[in-house]
Amino acid sequence: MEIPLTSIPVREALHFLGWRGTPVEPELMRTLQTLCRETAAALEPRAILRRFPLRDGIFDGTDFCPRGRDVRALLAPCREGVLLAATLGAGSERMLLREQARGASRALLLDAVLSAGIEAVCDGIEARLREECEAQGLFLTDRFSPGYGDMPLEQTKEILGVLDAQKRIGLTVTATGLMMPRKSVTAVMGVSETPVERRPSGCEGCAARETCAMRRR
Amino acid sequence: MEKKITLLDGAMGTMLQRAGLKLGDRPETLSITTPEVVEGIQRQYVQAGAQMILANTFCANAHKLEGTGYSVEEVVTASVRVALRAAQGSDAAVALDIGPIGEMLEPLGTLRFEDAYALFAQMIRAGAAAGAQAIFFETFSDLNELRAGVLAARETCDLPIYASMTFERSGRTFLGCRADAAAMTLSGLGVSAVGVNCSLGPREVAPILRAMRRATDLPLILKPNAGLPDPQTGEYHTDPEAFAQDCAALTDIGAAYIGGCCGTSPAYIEALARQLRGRTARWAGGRIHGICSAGEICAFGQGVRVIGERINPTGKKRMKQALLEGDMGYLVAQAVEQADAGAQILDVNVGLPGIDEAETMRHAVTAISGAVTLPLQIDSSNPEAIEAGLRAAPGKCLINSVNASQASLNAILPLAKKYGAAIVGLTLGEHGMPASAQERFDLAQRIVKAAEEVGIARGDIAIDCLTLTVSAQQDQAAQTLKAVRRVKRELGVETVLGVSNISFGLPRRQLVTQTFLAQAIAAGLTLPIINPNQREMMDVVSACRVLSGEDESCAAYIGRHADTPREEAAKPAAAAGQDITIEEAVLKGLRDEASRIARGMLEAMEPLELVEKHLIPALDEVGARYERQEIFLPQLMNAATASGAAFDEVRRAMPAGGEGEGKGPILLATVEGDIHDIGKNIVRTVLENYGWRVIDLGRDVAAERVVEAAQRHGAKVIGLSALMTTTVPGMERTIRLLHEAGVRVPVIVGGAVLTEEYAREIGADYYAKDAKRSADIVRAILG
Repeated sequence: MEIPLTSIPVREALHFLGWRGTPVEPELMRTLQTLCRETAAALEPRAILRRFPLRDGIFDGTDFCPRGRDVRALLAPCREGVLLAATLGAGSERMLLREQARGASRALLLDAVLSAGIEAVCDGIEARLREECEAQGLFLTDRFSPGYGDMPLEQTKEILGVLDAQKRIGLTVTATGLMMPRKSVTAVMGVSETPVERRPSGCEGCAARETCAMRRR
Repeated sequence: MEKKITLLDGAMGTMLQRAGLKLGDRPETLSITTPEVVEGIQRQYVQAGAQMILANTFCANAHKLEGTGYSVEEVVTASVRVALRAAQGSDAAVALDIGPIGEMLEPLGTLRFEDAYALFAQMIRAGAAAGAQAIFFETFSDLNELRAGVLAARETCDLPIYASMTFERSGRTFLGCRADAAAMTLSGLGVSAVGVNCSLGPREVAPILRAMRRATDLPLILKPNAGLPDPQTGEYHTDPEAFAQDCAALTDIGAAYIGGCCGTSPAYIEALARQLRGRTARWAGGRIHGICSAGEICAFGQGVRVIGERINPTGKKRMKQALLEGDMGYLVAQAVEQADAGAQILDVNVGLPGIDEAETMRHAVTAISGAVTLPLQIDSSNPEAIEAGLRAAPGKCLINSVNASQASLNAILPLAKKYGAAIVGLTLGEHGMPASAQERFDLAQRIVKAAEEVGIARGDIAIDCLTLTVSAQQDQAAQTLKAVRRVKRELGVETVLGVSNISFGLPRRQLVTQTFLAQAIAAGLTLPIINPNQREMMDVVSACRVLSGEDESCAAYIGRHADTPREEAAKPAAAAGQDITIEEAVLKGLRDEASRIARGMLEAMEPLELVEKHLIPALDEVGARYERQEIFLPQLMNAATASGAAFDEVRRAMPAGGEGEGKGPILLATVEGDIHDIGKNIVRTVLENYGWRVIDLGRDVAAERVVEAAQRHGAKVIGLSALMTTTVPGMERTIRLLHEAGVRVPVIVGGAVLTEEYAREIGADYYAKDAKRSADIVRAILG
């Protein structure tokens, strides 16, 4: 599906740049604001979202079974599993290459803006699905991606295979396991008939909170 | 033009899923495990009327079959045999079906063009040996990947080749490839038909197929989905009759190979057979000429198209250095700058003694085509380098150049024909420089005749009537212009001139060059080779477009000059800026200010004093603030850039032969298998702006290349970057190879997943958690 990306929050981009709330020159701020606006307008994000019945932890009609304690715990109370693959598209890779040619500083800013962009895309999709579930009286878990907690990164490839992501949204994975385009996300969610525990927003619920460079303070 | 319609088959995946195949499974292995199911489906298609069926080999490449326990040869042979059995007793042909490999090619991804070529060639050899009667490429979204496949087919077998891609509603693929550019490129490569499969329903595919029609005279392939899928269930609902009717409507633009993709079944092929059997596709010829990249077409015969000349080492010290060091980033920066300035074609010339020109051309073309989408002009006198460039470029290129000598015609024209390239013919024969317009015209005629004889269309030929230096041979300027006028009018081809030569040796060169450009365009010059970064040159082009009527309503001209008065008014205000110190300028990241203040200080101060007493302390303060988290990375970068501008002034002020080059070199690379280079580039910027000399090998750099470069350049420090747990092994291998080769140079490593301990484990000498730390380490090593 085509995903509208109306805006990229400047604050999120700042966060990806490692900003800790210290003063920012007005010029840098303006540059970032412009970049967020222009990038949001230029991107053509694509995503696939699909719901499957869950049978003994396996996504029905596939061989996909999420591995790792954390993701299993997330799906344990759920009757349905959801797979998400989203990407900012090859255009984002070209933008990065072009911006790199104009200088490392500019590429650094764009990289952060794109990271904020793909997050915004996924948040938007998740929010819509959450509404849909709530309308049906169901409860949606948080998003959980391969590489979070103890879910192996290698499952990225399985999710992309099940969703036929290369053919449908042009999302591939390299021999070394990197998603291409880089600004892409795969994730698992669960749908339950009973209320599910949500991760506290922010870093408290994350297993990597002690070592993460992105941790909010 | 006309062609009897050939009915193709419908979906295989859809049918296999109905038969119980799970999502994510590899359907190709079913040709071995349950051949009767596959054969049954194909037989249904033959019975429905398909005249060409595709073997169950879509993903039977070595990459996708990895882990299945079957070899490419086993799966391809079994699948082709199954299809041949299904076709038995009918006149249906069997084609080897080839889809994308599943990995992204360079420059966006890491799969090399020649590796993709080898994966396809392996399938094609097996398919041809098993009895396939055609090679059918489908569902591609990367034009270069498809080019690799088509070249592999042409160079491996004699079977007819069909090439089909998948587009979005915008008329572009996921990778930004335009339908007309795909058609233009692929028809040049000698395929039997080009077209569209999958994508959308036949109705939505119609405009995409029409775009292809404008760029090729070949018959078209139409293999759409059964309408649009239901967003909830993924099911297709268009009924077979409506599908067939919509497809039939496209036979009048030359859809001659018609079948179905996702969601179609034998019922759809039956409906097509009822509508189309025995019918003939008819279409008008008359394609557009010109060149293209995957994303952009530069059509000839529609006005002035600017060729940017900056990627050429002649007389350019910095470009020579970049080529010698393999610094493709510099070439890409030149490409982007020219594209931003309005160039429409980029000339790529990497000829330099002491380098492997063909290999460098391949690297350069690949790197440039990642960042800019302009079509390229491959510029070399070496046929091997030309071929390397043509092979690597995603699109249809212009070759610069062939001349009228028999040797040149024999060497270059077959290359142009094989890769479907357009040519620049230089009016130069066996007897050296022509003196008159008549001689130039005669040579042009000879080139056009020879080119047409090998099958190059006149619309794809451009003639260069040679610009000579007017201060040396004053009578020649008029002869050149006269020849341009005749060539344009009498031969009807495009015309090229390298314009800048004209003014060599004269004062105020620009004025002479501009005037000559205007005169040449008036005489019929359509492809001027100029420096588009010189605003005055582009101003002339822009004004000429107004006068010729090409710039309708003068809109582009007015747009170009809309900001002019404001810009000029703003200048003095900025220059007046407040009085600040060099330290403040660096701390605040004010680049122009830092440069200006440094210039002023250098009038009364030794360069080294400025560095040691002012710039280094300022950078130390920036570093300290960064460590205390008072500033964040973009501010550190801006400060480094500002100090870099001051360092440039220092270098300029140093006596020649002094420490102008900076200490080093420091070798930087993102390791093999990894394409994350933001961090590495930040380190580069910081190190360079601290005054060190850096050689940047780029991203996804093979370990062997790091070793070779370290030895060749006598690197003093090596910095390696890897961002993922999956790519750190590449870093480890690089360090091991360096040690094995006896390169005893300190290695600094960095990247998100590394730690002090992990770095030691893989044999690195230093771990740098960020760019600031890298600079500290380098300073400790180099002093």
